[in-house]
Amino acid sequence: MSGSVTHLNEIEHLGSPGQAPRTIRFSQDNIVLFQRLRAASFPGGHARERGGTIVADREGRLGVQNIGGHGSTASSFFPNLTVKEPGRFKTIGTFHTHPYDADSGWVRGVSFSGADIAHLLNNLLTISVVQSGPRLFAYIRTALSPTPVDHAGLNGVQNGTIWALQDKGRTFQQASRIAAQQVASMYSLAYYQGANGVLTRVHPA
Amino acid sequence: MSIRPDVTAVMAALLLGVPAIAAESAPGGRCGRYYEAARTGRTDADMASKRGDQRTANARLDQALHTLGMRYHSPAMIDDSDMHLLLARQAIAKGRLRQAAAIKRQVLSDRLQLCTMG
Repeated sequence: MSGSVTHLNEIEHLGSPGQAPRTIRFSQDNIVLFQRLRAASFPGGHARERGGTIVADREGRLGVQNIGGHGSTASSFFPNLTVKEPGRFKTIGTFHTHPYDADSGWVRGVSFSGADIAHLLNNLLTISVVQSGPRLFAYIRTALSPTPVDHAGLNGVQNGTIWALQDKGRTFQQASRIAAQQVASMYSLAYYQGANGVLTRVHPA
Repeated sequence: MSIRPDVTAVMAALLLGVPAIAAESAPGGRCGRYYEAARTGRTDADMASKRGDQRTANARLDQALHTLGMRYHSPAMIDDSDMHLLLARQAIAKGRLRQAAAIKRQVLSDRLQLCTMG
């Protein structure tokens, strides 16, 4: 993998989305973990979200703790944000999968929900990462991002945008990605899309 | 004299503790009585689905989801279930009632589970 792995100082305490790095690169260990959690998201052929807490060590290296969190269902994840060894690590975000099984047409590449964004903002986290099929998505919060936000309101805006895009002929997964980009602009977030642990900034372009 | 404070403490624990334990062990968790109502709706939907009446199954599931509302929700959780309901809505628009009911049933079951999670 070319390029250096992203450190905390590149993504934390950003003044605006334009200050966010053009590319985010996760370490090989994190990439392997993301893929492992993706593979574990269909126990018995049925969807179950998997995830963990993204942490940074004193040197700013990113890792994942609390795999499995407090629990999950097919459509939700309950992260455990209490970091282990708080002298060495701090919580900076969450990672979780978006699996859709046979009932939902095995769709892949589904980006953020409004609820994902509300969780990032209301818990004052730095980063949120989602894996859906081979695709990886990330948001980075900035100083311009509003907090707290109304969870139901934000979710409603996101869902309404996705539904309107579907009405115009977009697939559900395409619509989710376009909506995620639009909402990034509304909430002063940097938005990324990618795969295999490398993400490119989509908003701002 | 030395026993009296202990008795008081035990009485206080009984008075304050028992309702707390009862609340924690209630099957509906934070959803309270709405939990059972939503479960009943799910059972009704299953019965309708079993006899091939997908229209009624969808209606019962919609009603159960409405009854439960957002009571299952906690700000500490990441709840993507509304995204799944968009797929159910899409399935309805395409006339795929069985698929829509299957998605809604899963979302309802997830939300019932979340009532007691965390």
